[in-house]
Amino acid sequence: MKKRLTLIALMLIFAVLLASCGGAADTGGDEGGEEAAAFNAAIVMPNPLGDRSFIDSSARGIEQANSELDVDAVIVETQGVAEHEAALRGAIQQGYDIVLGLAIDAELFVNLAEEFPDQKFGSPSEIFAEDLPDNLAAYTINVHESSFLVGLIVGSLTETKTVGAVVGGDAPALNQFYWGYKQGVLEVCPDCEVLVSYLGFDFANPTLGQETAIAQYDAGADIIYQVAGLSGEGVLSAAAERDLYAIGVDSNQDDIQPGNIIVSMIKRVDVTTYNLIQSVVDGTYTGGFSELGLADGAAALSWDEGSTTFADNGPASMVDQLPAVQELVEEYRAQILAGEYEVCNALVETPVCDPLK
Amino acid sequence: MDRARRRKIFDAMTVPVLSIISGLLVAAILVLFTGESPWEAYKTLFSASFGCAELSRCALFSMLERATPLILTGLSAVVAFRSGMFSLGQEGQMMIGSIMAAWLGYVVMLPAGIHPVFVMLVAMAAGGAYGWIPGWLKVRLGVNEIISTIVMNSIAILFLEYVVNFPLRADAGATAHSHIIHETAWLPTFFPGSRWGFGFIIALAAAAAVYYFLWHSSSGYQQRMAGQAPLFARFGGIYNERIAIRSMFISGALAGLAGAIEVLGVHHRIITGFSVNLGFDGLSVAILGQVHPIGVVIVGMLIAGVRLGAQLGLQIQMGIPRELGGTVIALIILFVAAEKFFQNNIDTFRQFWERIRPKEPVGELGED
Repeated sequence: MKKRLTLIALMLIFAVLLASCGGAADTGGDEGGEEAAAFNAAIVMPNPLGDRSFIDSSARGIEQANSELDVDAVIVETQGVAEHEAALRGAIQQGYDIVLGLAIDAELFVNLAEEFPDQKFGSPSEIFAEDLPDNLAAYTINVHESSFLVGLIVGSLTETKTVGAVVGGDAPALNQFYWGYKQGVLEVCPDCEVLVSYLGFDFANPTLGQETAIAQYDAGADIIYQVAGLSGEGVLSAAAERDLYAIGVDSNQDDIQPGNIIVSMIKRVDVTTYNLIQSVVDGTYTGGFSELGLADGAAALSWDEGSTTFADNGPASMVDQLPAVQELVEEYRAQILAGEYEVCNALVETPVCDPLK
Repeated sequence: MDRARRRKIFDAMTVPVLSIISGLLVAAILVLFTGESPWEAYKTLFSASFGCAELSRCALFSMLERATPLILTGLSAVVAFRSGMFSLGQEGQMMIGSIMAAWLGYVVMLPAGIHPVFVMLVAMAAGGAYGWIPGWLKVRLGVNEIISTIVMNSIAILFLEYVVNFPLRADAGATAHSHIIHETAWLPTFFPGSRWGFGFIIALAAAAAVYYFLWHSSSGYQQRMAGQAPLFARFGGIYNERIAIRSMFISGALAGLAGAIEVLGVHHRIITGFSVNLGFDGLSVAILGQVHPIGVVIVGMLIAGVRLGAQLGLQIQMGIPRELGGTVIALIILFVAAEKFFQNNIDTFRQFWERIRPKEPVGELGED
């Protein structure tokens, strides 16, 4: 009886707390409203934040836009594909100046853009469509060339002549990473074997990534390139667990497992996210495709940004080879940028791709 | 409505209503930690899920669209629970229904009107068959249905992943998905701007049908007796085994229908990662709805509203993490599970009231 009364009392305390604090916080809310920016924007993320890769990179673009532009940009996390449409429609209902969607299904995005012709839309990373309506701007960041550079590094450093790739799913946008990488490996190490595992588009499952990586390490691979969002973090943990090596992707991941991650292939989704918002603020927004790549610095290596994590923490035997490898990378980079060397682009297949399939 | 009936409804409603209030109160404390006002937060949450600015940008319609599968999976759980089968297999049965809908919506050519009906019937049969298996296993081999249904959920989810990655995979998009089904198979929607449509009417009709079946038909009476008092049912000449299997079939068919409507009315295809626990949420809906079709319809809308409001209202407008929505629901369920706590307090309060109330022949709350 006494216990019950205590509980009732507790509930009452909650109620009182609620009432008193509610009033105080109200004024806080009003202050927030005063600094309203001239523009607003929203981005729908394909999965929750915290993958330390693709999604977090885009989120950095939003932060940068918020601090540098006269814009109020918000992030809408979702829990996977089934929520994408509702989240986009919700954002549209709020009437933002631009609604961005990261890695949203092309058909869904195009249909929404046609349904709401007055709403501006943007996609910071590639979407797979024939053509786009005027109110949908999409960036393609070509990663095949920088993945090729990663392949050169991996092909030079492998000791077992077997290397791996853990890829989120079997689709052109993801094979753009893998085929470029494979071409790079085979360029410097023609007798190397490249293992590949696709994860069936499960980008949010580190355990799956880890198990897959361990299977590849068991099969003799000593370096694995992961292209799998949050699932890829499992690959990085597996590298640390086996004391072997992995390659980071999308964001600079060199510091996640220092000494086990040789380099990261950075896909600057933050830049494209920022650019899209900026285009609305500047009034330069136009629909359609824009392409960026190695030449624009939108796809780059973490070494280009001065990351020395591996050089500082890696084993001496490998670190000693780094200057030579770096030289090789620059040699090929110059050739690629000069148009003298062609890397397979899985999005627009050319004969170069044929031996890589 | 006579007093006894009124009293019964009052009793059925107290625990859910008190649970919802308590859940909201405790979650309000969590909101305080984010530095926002709980009052504002809840106002935003509800306006982002129950509000309606204009017909093409109407949150209410989105909410009703999201409530549709929850109502159906909730009904699926109601049928199973009322018949004494603790089936947790809604998720898997729903996936089977979705797969059938995505497949038949694409490979079969039928005139509009007939096409969706045909697809839904087949999806219901497939979901029902998928529910029949654990029912049969339970009756024939004594396999615990809780375990078998959970295991079969995983099988169905993985099967769906296989199907969208290989046999039904459309083109090479950024994710694996099946082809868009033919437009003849689409369920009509009511207003542009949301996918709220005919599926919702079907869900309401299903709720009415389940209510009629369980409470106003003799086979429904058998179902309930087999659930409430198996021995009584047995001595009354009811074959409990047959009832158990039948309940699992009906339950599976309802979940399969939920999956079909998600495909025919909302997504028009299946996509990798299609399973987002709508089946499990259906269980919560059934329990919070007092395992009753009317309760399921109301709670289905409430939970869909809280989810949507948390995602679109709290997250977008206030910057409060969307997980708060899930937390609110979890807290409410927790309080429902702690039913005894409310029941005891209500009893205490009643006794107290009996003692102090003015001496009149009829009390406001009635007497036990």
